[in-house]
Amino acid sequence: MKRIIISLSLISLVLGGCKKDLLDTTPYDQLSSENMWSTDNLTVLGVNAIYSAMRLGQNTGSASGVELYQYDRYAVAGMQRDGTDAMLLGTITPGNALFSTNWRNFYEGVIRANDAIANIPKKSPSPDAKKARLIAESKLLRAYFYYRLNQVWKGVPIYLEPFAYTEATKPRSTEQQVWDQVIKDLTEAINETNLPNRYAKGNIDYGRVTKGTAYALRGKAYLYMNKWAEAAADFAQVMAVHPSVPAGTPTWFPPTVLTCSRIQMVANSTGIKLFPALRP
Amino acid sequence: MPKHDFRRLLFAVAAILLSLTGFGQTQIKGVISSARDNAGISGASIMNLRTKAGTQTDAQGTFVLSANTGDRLKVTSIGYLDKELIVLKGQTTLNITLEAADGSMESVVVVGYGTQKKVNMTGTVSMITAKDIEDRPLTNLSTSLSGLMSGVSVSQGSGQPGSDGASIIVRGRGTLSGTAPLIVIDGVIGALDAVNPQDVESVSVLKDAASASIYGSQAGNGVILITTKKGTRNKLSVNYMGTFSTTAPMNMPRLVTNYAEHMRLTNEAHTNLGQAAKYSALTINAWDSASKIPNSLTPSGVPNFLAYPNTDWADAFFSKLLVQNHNLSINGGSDKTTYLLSVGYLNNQGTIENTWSQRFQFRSNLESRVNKYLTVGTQTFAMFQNDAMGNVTDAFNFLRQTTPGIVPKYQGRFGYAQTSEENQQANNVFSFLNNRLGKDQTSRFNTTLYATLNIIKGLSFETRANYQMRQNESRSRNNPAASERWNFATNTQMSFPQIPANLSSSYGYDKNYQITIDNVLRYTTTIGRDHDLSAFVGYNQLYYNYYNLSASKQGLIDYDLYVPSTVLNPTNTTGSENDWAIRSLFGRVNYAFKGKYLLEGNLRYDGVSRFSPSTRFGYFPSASAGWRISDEKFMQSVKWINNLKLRASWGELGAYASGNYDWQATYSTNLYSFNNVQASGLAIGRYANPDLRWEATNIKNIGFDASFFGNKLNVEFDVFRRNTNGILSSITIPITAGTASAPTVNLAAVQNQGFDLTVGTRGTVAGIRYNINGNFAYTQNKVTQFRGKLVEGYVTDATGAKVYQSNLSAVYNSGALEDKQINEHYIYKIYRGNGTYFNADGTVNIGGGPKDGMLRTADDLKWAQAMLAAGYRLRPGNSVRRDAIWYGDLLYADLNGDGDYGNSFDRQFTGTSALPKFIFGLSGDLSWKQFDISFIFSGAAGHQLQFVNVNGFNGSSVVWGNHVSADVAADRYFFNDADPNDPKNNINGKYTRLKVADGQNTVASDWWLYDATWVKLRNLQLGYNLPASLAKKALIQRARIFFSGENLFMITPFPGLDPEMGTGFTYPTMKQYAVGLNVTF
Repeated sequence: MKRIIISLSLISLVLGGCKKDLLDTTPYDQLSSENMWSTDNLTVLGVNAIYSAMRLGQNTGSASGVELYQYDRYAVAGMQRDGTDAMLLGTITPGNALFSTNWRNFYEGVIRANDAIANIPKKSPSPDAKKARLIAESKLLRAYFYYRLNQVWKGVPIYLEPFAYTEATKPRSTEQQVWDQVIKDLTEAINETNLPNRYAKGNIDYGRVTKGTAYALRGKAYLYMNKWAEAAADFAQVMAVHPSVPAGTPTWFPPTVLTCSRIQMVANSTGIKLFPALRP
Repeated sequence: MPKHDFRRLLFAVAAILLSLTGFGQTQIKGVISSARDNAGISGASIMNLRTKAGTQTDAQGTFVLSANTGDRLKVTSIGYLDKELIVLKGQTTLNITLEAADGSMESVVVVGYGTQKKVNMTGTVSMITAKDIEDRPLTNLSTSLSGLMSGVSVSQGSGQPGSDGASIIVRGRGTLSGTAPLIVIDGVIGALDAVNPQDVESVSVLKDAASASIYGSQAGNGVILITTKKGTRNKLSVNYMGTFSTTAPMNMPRLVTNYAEHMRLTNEAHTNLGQAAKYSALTINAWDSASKIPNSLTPSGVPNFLAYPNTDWADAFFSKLLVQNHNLSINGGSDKTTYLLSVGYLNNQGTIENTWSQRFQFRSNLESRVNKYLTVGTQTFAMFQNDAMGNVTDAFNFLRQTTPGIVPKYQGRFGYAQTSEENQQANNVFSFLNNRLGKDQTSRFNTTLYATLNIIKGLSFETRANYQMRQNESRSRNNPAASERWNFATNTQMSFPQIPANLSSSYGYDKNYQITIDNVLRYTTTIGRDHDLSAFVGYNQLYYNYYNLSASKQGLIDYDLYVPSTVLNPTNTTGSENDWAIRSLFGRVNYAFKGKYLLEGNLRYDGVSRFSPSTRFGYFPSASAGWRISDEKFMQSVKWINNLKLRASWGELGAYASGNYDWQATYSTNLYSFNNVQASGLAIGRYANPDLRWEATNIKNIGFDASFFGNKLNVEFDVFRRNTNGILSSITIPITAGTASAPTVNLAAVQNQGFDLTVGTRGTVAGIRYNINGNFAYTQNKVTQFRGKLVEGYVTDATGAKVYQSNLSAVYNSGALEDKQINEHYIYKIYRGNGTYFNADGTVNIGGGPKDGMLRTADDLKWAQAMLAAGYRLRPGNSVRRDAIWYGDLLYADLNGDGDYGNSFDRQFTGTSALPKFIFGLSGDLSWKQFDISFIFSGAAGHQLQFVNVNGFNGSSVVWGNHVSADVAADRYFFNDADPNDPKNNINGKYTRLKVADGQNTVASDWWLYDATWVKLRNLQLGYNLPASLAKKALIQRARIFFSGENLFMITPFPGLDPEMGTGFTYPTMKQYAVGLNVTF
């Protein structure tokens, strides 16, 4: 009997030593999707990643084809800054990665923005005002990526919610539908009271998008939609929030915006991606 | 008079003489026990050969027999080797141990979570014991298994000391993922080379699903079980085994070593293309004449052998060094406690300087019976290994990137190119081999604590806890002296030591550890007389963790100050960590009816951290049955069949081949900046696949075991079919899904089938005891499901033209294509014309041209020109020119008949791969009186290797400043079209013409496909055992002096270094000649 009691106590001791969550391992160098958006810091990091999507395709060591001067190729005939450019030479084929890479990178921005817009309200513990601002930034950036897609492809599939790779099968929306979506996101950003008009230089958030950015982008979208009055009104708003824009600058001409350092959408070279392609 | 009768007569005479001298007949008592476990053998017969009186042992193995001094007794028992002994003077007790006969009924096989008598086994398991690998100058355990077990393929990829372990594949390849079998050491998952071969008692390989499914999701590639030696009760023995062996590389590259010749060949490779020669006739002549008088002095007083070297780099690089192996073990115990303590020391100098490895290994296996129902014990292993810093990777890379015109080393200085016409980048291998200083240390620690409780009769509980770890510490820094190189002809320093500021120092640490808990509850009983039942259930959990850290800094302030805190600029700091865990329940039931009808069922339930909570659990069942036909009544009359058993099994196994976290969507970091300050972001880096599962393997196996002619001939044969489904593969995701990486999915399926055969024979002929075992195995795999079937052929396009289309790029990836073997060679075929050139009407004959695909004659060349002129394309050169397609170049066949010879549609599958279809081994030992001899051969066949364009080693591509292969130089095509009578012309050359830039002949084609069959003599031993009478005087139980040779020779048609290693030129395996001593006190 004693033997059985000892045995059972030993067995229970051994089996009792089991760790309950033994099998729930998560990676050390990456964050598990379960935990994302669950703290204030993660919320900020998640939105930062949408900004980072504007840097996709950039090399740090050499020319990437997306720098400002690279856009000269579309303006100055015959100019090749970085080796042979199949598009300029007229030898480009649909198989050229120039198109697929840009498509992929713009949609990556959309995906990151969708993730933030869907999950911040559900999971983030940040203060409401901050969440509202971050969602407005996300919508503004999503509008930017759709704006760029629509510039090139004139009507692309619209995804506004996080989706699985197996669900990436939507048909193209019309160009008008995409512009409408761009205007909708930007209008929501403009209407968000927590999104500041601008950040002063030196502010820790200097370089984040603002209402000024939203007005500038919406104005340009209106230009594409041939809505001149709305465009003019938005550019007027840009000057209203950025009083240093020289008086008398034609309000419809975007390079004004380009020269206005305070409206820089982003504080590094990617920011300029927004503007140069914008010759109406 | 026949020999036996003569011996009998002698004994009889001796016995009579002894009895006449008046010794009285006494009662002798004793125990007959099994040498394996010291358990008494019941029913063993013992007979006095003089009186013919005999008796049998009782249930405890005891007997009583009357005998006189000098009487000869014979002990026999089924399943054991017979034993004869003589009664000594005054002897009244006799304790006799019997050795189990291999392959016999009594021999016991280690299986997962237990042992089984071989006769009762229904699964397929191969096992070897310590005897099969003893007295070999081994540097690791894995390579020792080669050739010994059927279906177990062992290939050693490198002979580098300290990292020379072999990779093992059990029964061929059945998946596109990893093929490494699960290694279990004393019941705990571990690493094969973390065991001292001298400590090994047995190695079992579980081959079919029935035997392996107890390890469930980890057993898909087979399981190797290693059991270490234990102490013996009431006995003490001390064993020393030591060997000294000289080493030599198994094979060396054959290079052109005469520098003048090398220069001429390099020039030829240039002029063949119409390019200018690299070396002047002046330089070549200088070398020619100086080489004839190597010891004369140059005008500046330098000996010719220094000023005009003709270096054989292979010879200079490899040296004959020494391997020392010493092992000491103490084995013993009292009635309650047993112990085995062992220490091993290995000093392996390898075959190349500065690549040595030193290893110390310790083991302590203790077991103590605390009381009647509790036994506790430990198996503890520790290892410390110190490896030389020699940069083997660099050295082998640069061995081909040098020339005979460089002195390797002279008076401690490294040589440099000796002529300005040489490529100044030509390397000195020793400079690379010695470019690192520091230490590289690996240590392992592995300890198990276990307890066994006998709760009630038949019911026992075993529990074990194991902790094991391996860590590597590396402290390395540049060796400034290595870059100092000299031109000895002019006595000038050409390359200088690096200044401290350019030197780097790196410290790195990596560690993995594993914690295992294992519990088993067993029950064994016999119901009635005929029903034997045993069963167990178990629980296991395992947690594995790996992490590393390394830091590099550059800029020493002085050569001697290199610890990181004294070095100036941080260049790189990295660290990472990962882990996985598994938790399982498992059980087995064995049932035998009358010992003839055998049934076994296994079930394992695994949960693995690598899959999502919804898919991580799964069942792995198996069932097997055996029928011992030889025990049936109708077989009793067939005396020549001792044992015949049919076996059949079915089961499911798994392999969790995915990465540790592949099922999860993860967020990875990216960067941005706000207000000119760097900011981090987190975005989805990889898509989740919550449906990810292990690869599921199903194995069906049927086979038989048979023994004939008094167990003299043993045969085991198995046929199997293994289907693996859900093999991991990555997929392509739509570009709209962004930049996150695609998930891993369970996609492919592979079928692998074959057979294993083992035949063994043993016996005694003319006093020579022999034991010979051969094994042979065949496997063949086929991808049964992947990205779709290959569809290719002609279609009519919109314009009505016929175009050739293939979906190859969509369905073929990483060597996998449905209905083909894994990694089947997919290559061009050499064009083979019929030797005619033009049709009667003067048009070119499209089936004509050179018979072996090489343009050898002026007619061949004209034909090629005519083909091009007629609009056909000859890829890839597609132009008859000196620097495109010319004399001595290859043409490729137009398999799809589109007139484009050798375009991408003209590749074909060869039906072969680099994986052997056949593996085989033959081992044996023979002994006569005190002498013995044993051998192990192993081999592989049915595979081919594509071996091309390894500059300097194979192929006609020549690079200025690199070696030229001696084989190619000796039989290369050459034709001087300006002088058809040039004595150098060799239009029947085996190799294509030498070229410095060769796109035409380096195409992967069947021209460069070689049969890779090989047979190696793995081990050969000659031993002498000290006679027992002499040994006794020296208090020695057993002593053996031996010669033992490893890898003594290889037979292969393959022209590379070693087909077992593949086509690469890396550290060759060692040939070892050892003398050794194995003595037990």
